[in-house]
Amino acid sequence: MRKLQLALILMCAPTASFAAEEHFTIDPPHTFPNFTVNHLGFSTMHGRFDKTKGTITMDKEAKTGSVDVVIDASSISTGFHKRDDDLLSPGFLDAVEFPDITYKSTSVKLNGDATGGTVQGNLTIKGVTKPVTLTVDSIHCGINPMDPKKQQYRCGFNATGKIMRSDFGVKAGLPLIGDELDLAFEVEAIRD
Amino acid sequence: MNQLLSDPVFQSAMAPFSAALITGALLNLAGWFWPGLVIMVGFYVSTWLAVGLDVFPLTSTHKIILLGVAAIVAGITLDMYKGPRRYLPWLLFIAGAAAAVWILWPVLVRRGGLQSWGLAAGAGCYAGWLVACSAALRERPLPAAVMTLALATGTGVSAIFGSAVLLGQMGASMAAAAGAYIVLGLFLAGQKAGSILVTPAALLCGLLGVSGVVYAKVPWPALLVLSIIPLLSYVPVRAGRPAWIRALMLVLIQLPVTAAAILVTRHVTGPLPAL
Repeated sequence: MRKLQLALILMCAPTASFAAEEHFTIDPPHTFPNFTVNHLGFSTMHGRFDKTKGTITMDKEAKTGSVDVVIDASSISTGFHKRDDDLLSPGFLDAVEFPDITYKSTSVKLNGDATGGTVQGNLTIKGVTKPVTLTVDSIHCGINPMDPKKQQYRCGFNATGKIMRSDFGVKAGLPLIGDELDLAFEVEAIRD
Repeated sequence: MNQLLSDPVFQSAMAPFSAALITGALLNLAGWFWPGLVIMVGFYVSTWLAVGLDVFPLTSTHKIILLGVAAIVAGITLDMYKGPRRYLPWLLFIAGAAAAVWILWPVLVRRGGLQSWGLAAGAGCYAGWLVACSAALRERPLPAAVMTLALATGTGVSAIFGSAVLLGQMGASMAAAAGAYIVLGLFLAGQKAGSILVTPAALLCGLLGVSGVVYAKVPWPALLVLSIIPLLSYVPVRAGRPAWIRALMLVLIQLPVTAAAILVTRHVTGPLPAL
């Protein structure tokens, strides 16, 4: 009997470990990469990208995971169409030639209670890839209360980071238009 | 000082004009076709101030920076070449078209099919036409400089209206440098243009034009209007008149076409963008 119990425990152990890793697909209508940048020294201008897709994995027990995000560069929105057009041009994002901005994690470390953490990864803009660290300020998971069947499990993440746009070859308007961009990601993802 | 260096007007007008003026005065002492180089001096000074002179990764803008250097080398080679020039316009047309296709290559590959072929043909014909049609102006410094002034102004201002400020700055810098070359020509005798002037100037105007269309919002009809400018440069102006009158007459002939291209762009894109 004891042998049988041990065999069952051993059989279940890898399954339990595998089951701890959850796979999520990013929910585009609830996911927006935002940025702020200094405008000519006068004010802080806000902008965001309206189309983002990707996947997230999370292992709350192992306190790790992964992030793979693709942002549609042409979906930039600063609240003024003519400015957006210029931000899509070769001096800035060059969105026709480089339609995607990507972020792939290289290391994810969740904190003790898995309500936050740190993501290290590679951000690619205009064909230039640089390491960028994001601080995940909050992670909140649960059943979507708006789901009629009360079955959809989703997680929300708020993350922040900083980049220098010149590092990615986005140099037009420097230094009048700020070099440093504060990034803020509001992400919701649905468990697969 | 930093504030001045980062001012877009300084970067795209005052700096290239001053650099071209000083370099042109010095190169004039060296003789040969060297003063023709001032257009590119203005272009590179302005580009360096605006975004630097990096060439990697090979974005369309970086390719334009590289092709400018290649065109200077080609211009010098053509100025040294003493053989028959019968097939030269065709060769220049093909080279200009190939350069335009290279600039647009990532887009052509992604779109594929008939759309890509149409885009490649349109862009190639425009860049090739400007380079080939302006080739014979190498012996005529004033028309060559006024053509560059008109073409670069039309390309640059159209790019700015078409929401591509960087391309606009690059075009404007060549116009400013061409202005400096014309001013020098009014005071210095025996100024020469050469292929060192016309080949890079025409090629870069062509590449900036097609980049403005494909990578920004410049409409194709604006390029169609601009393509008339090299032809107008061959309108005969009486040689016996003072240089400033001939320059003024050439400007008056070509300025309406430049203005028309800008108006076409303005009509399609609306008012200037506000960064």
